[in-house]
Amino acid sequence: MKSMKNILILLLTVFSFALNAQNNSLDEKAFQSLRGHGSMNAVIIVAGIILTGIFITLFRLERKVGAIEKELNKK
Amino acid sequence: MRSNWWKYLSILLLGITFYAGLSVPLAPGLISVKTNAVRTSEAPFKVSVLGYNTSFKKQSGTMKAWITNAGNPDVKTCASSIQTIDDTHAEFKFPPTAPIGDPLFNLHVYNEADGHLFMENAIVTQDTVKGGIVQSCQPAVKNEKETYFAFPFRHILYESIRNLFLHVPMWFTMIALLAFAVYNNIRFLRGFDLNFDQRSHEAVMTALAFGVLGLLTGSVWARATWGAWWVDDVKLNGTAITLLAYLAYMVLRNAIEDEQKRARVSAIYSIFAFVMMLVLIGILPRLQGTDSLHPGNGGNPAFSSYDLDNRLRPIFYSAVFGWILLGFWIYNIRLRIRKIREQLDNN
Repeated sequence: MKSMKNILILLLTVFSFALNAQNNSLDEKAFQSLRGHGSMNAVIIVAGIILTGIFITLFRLERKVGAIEKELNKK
Repeated sequence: MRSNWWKYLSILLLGITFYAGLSVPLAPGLISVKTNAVRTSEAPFKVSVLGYNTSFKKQSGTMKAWITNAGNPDVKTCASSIQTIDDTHAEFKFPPTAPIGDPLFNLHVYNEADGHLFMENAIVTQDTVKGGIVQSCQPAVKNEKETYFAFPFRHILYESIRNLFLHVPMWFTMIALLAFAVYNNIRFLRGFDLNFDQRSHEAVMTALAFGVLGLLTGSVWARATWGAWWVDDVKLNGTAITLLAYLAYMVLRNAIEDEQKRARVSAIYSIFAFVMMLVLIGILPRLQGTDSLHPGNGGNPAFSSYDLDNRLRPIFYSAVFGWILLGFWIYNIRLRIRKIREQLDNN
């Protein structure tokens, strides 16, 4: 239930980027910096997103294993 | 005694992917070409170029430059003088050249390290286009490609072509895991053994995570190349609907208390959602006549036919295989945690 809520929040955040129809000068800076170093910045940020996702998954699994270990120790 | 060789293989493949994917240089190319002349046939004109990963200065001894008319690509006009300012800046002087066939000229630059660099429609002239026969020079080109292993240089993409090893495998992994989930759904429906339902549920959850990562990384790549975080596009809408369909799968599972009933309903739903995914992501975007920005669809040269040349292919295949193995590793851990928790709860 909780994970569903989290994923929903994440997806809504992603889709809220579609609302950038307004001319925002801050957005231009983001665009230009994303293309910096011959667009290498885009690669680094994509790799960062993926690694962050993997580490978040690992942390969540770690917590689940920790909870199980605690329960086992109680018995 | 567990067989974990495939987990080590995934680490190896991903290590290769990250190392090669990030360190192999991009092939040299021409970023921009400027000329000061309005008419090319009146007087000798100067052309200045900005290169990427080029070695103009280092190779100033072997530099050659020539222009061809877009309407007459076999006729070459060589530069009368070449000045290399540094490795990425050079200036060429061309004799007066009449536009035979087309007001647009293509620029070719060559040196032994960079190979044959080409920019289409680099120079435009206000002269009236004529017909006629013109002498052509014959610049000797030894090697068409650069002398070292490099990724293809593509305009608009530039370095972000490396995202091929990061963004695309996210989707391959999602599809592989969803296919595995459907396989387990079918096995469940044959014998109603809840173990298969567990497996398919964990596979779908892992697949969802990869799908979300695919969306996020695709959004960043889109912002860098198309200029927008999201576009109204067949492929993008298809992936969004697919993820929503599998989110609905989660809602469905939460709504049914009885284990057997929940397993049956979600197995059937998952099989339908998988077919829908294949149509939305694989079939609809590729139909003739669809307009899609996304590579590989709607008339775009697919990454698989144009850009996935032999330089990208080995690392791309390792990447896809490595990420898929990692996806199954995460699924494997989730499943084991689920089974241990089940055992604990039953005791």
